[in-house]
Amino acid sequence: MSLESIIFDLHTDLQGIQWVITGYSLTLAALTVTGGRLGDLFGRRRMFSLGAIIFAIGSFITSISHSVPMMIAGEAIIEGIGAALMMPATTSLLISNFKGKDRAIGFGIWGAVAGAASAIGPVVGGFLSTNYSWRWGFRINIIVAALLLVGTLIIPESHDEEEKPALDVPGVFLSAAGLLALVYGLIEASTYGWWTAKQAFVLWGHTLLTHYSVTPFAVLVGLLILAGFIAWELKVDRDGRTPLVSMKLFENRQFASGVLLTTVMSLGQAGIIFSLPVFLETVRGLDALHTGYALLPMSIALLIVAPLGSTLAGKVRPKPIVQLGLLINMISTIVLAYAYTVHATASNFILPLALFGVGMGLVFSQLSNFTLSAVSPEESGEASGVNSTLRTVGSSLGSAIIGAVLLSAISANLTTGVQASTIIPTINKPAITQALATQTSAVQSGETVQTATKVPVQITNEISRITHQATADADRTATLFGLLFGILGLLVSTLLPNLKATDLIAQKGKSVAAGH
Amino acid sequence: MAKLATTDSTIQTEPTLLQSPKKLGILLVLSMALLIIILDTRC
Repeated sequence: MSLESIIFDLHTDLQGIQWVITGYSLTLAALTVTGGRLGDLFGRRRMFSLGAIIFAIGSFITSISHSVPMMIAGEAIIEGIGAALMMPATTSLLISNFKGKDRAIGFGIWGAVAGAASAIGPVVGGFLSTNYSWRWGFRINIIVAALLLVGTLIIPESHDEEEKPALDVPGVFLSAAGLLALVYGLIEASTYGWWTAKQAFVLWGHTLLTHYSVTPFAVLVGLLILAGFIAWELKVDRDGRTPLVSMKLFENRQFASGVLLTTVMSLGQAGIIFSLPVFLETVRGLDALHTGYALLPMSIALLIVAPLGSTLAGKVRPKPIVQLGLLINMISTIVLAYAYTVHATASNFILPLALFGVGMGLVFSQLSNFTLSAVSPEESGEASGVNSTLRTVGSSLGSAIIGAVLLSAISANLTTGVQASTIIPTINKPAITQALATQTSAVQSGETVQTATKVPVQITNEISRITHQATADADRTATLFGLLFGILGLLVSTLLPNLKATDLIAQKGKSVAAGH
Repeated sequence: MAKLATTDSTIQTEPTLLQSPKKLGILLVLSMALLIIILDTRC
């Protein structure tokens, strides 16, 4: 959405609106595992329908919001709960209703939508805000949720008949609290920094941290709680009760290697989606809508290739298709890195982004089916919840890592640029370096560096040139750093069992054996 | 032989995704849900 119009209508600031957006992602990350398990235990279609109703109520409240707390309640909390119930059901219902080639194609389309949606979000939001009102974004959600409810009438109900329908409540609290803290820490890394605070951490008007960033504390607390969660789940399993997530899932090599690769792929894609807008907004001065258009080649390629790639099921084994996709991704990342020059326009990124989309499309055409077919339909909600959650954690971590690399590269490039300048007088260099150092975050957010009014125009122009050069070079560095995710992905892909598509699917009541 | 032929003719194969409006409908519903969930994290 156009944040400016929401800020104006609700008489708030950017920070207030960011709480709403972050809050929705946090609720989704915290409750998706629980949503998946609830579907297994009490009916996947029932939880999907309930999720759609809650999502519609949340969207309605958001659409009539006149204050930030109302928007947080509507979008971040109520919509987030509805989404967490629906999200895992989008894959568990695929598993329980489709088999063989149909399932492969179904997952190919699912992968295409999942991959492309993250890049088309700004275009849809920008279009609605420019031509109508930001409120229409939420009104459309109500209409779509109503259509989904009608649509559920054709979906047969399914649930896990082997487990007692008892929810592991301590597991719910531990997983939600652990994921909430971990994902919060990762999302806020770009605002507060990884270690030293870029700004003070203020909660409900109280300044809690001024010297250190909130990120390391949140990540550490999150990891500790998640370690407690794993210990608790192992105990519940040992006692013969129903766990929220059975740790036996991870003994299944097909599932474990699949979710690991999904996480690594999300890291890489989030990095690209994070770094390109910084360049286009800072150097080319594009707005969010036009930056969104620039990312479209990736989405379009993904939307075409993922469903097409899934039709190869039965003809080619999934592993080589995934590895070909990863190889194409690595090549496109190098091409993309060298497309970053101060004179580059959005059109220079069409080819590398489309190529990246082809690679992602090939991987996503196989990966979800490969990963989630490893478990029996009884465990599909639980497995879908874990898979979706790790995608979210991967995306948050990818943006946080690339954000940190980009920021430190911009900062170093600005200093080098000022020192090397032949236009800025030597006597002014320390003051200008100091001023730029405090505004690095502004450059990363696409803002223009402010200088004192007394500075002559040729120096202002020189600072602008240095800023553009620093951003282009930093984007190249960050993208090349992202190549590490590609290499990591290729390494992880060697762990995937080289099964035929026909051997992927676990039988009723029994996961594909751990020994593959 | 006649009996066998009769038996064979009763075997019904499940329609594939592209032949089944119901399966296509289920896929459409699940994809639409996924789309609105992710769009809300990005808009």
